[in-house]
Amino acid sequence: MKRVLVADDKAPGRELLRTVLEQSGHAVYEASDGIEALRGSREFLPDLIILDLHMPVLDGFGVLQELKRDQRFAATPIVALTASAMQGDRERALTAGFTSYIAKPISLSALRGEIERFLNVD
Amino acid sequence: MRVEDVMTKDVSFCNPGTSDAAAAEMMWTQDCGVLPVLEDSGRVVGMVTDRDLFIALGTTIIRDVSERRQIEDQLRAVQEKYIHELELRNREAEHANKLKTEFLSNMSHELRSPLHTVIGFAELLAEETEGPLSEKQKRFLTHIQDDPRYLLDIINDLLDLSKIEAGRLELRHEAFDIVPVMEDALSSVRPRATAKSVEIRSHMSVSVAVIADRLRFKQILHNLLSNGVKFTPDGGKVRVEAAPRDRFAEISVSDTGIGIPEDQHRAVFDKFYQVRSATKDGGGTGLGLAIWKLLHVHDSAGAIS
Repeated sequence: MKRVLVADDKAPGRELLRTVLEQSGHAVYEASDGIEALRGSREFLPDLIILDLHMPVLDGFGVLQELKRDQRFAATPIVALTASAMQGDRERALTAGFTSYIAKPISLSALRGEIERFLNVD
Repeated sequence: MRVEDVMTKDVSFCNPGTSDAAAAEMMWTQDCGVLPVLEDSGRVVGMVTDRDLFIALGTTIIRDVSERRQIEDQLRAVQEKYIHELELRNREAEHANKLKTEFLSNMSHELRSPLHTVIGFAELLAEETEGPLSEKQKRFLTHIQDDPRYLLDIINDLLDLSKIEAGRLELRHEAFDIVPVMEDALSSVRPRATAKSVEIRSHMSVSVAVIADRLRFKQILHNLLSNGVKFTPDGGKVRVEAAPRDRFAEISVSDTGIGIPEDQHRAVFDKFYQVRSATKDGGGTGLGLAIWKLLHVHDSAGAIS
């Protein structure tokens, strides 16, 4: 069992990820904005952090920046999740330091594949 | 020339004329420093010296120059005003374009977010891990799953179109074999064809290599194939062929559907345009071929007809 933090300001989005992750036997910590995501990450020390890029208070880029300053997250995969699909978004996210970029909508099989890619590597 | 000489000459010979320049010219050709001024009757009314002319011509030149300078100043002012206006318009257009892009980006984001959860939860239900479904429930669920995909296609088309129009779409050329890409495009339209019992036949050479943007190539092919399937009545046929011709690859998609009337062959490439009878039969946005056309404008290596 791995610990995964899911940050998304929309409850259905969080529940979808929680369901998929729990089906695979992982523990999920939910955050509905950037500040909660930071607090949760520091308390929970997840094995994988999934951040929606558009969140109130502090967006995904802001959370990433804060996490990058903390040595405890140096090896933690941080995945950007976004419904934005403009050209250059992926590049911007990867340049900022996200480990991976998932564009919404995504099929469950692709989502599971992406999650397991980061949780199986030990 | 002396006054006595003047009096003995022909009238027309000595008259300095009406302009400074003409008088100066006459003095120059006759090599004299003075010219009589005559009345129409031929009576001498005075004399013009080269000094007088020099002063008169000088004044004229100075007047001409200052007039020209004034005109040039006016011209420059008009020009500057025009350039300023043009810059202003340009800035306004750029601003409007930026707003449009931002709007599209926001709209696309706002539409994708709910689609993500609709598609995801429908898929979760279809997996039946949360409980078994009756046949009827499964059928309902299929409908719920089909429409978001269709919506997503439209959103992607609109986004592509605006990206191409804004010149923000970059083509990545690479050499590849079109056959596997065509197989890919075929498999994406097969479910819909099977549902309508439309038979898809493909005739492809063993391998056809091209240099193009693989993703956009597939998109164009997908649009052509899905148009073929969409507008072919149940039980019809869609045929796709690919073969090298000269230095190009020729790909043709034909179907047993309603076809496109000859007078509308050009119009089908306009955005949002659909052949009249197509709007009620097949739905769609009328964007597929417009995207092709815009891609073609940006990359003149292909042709479609």
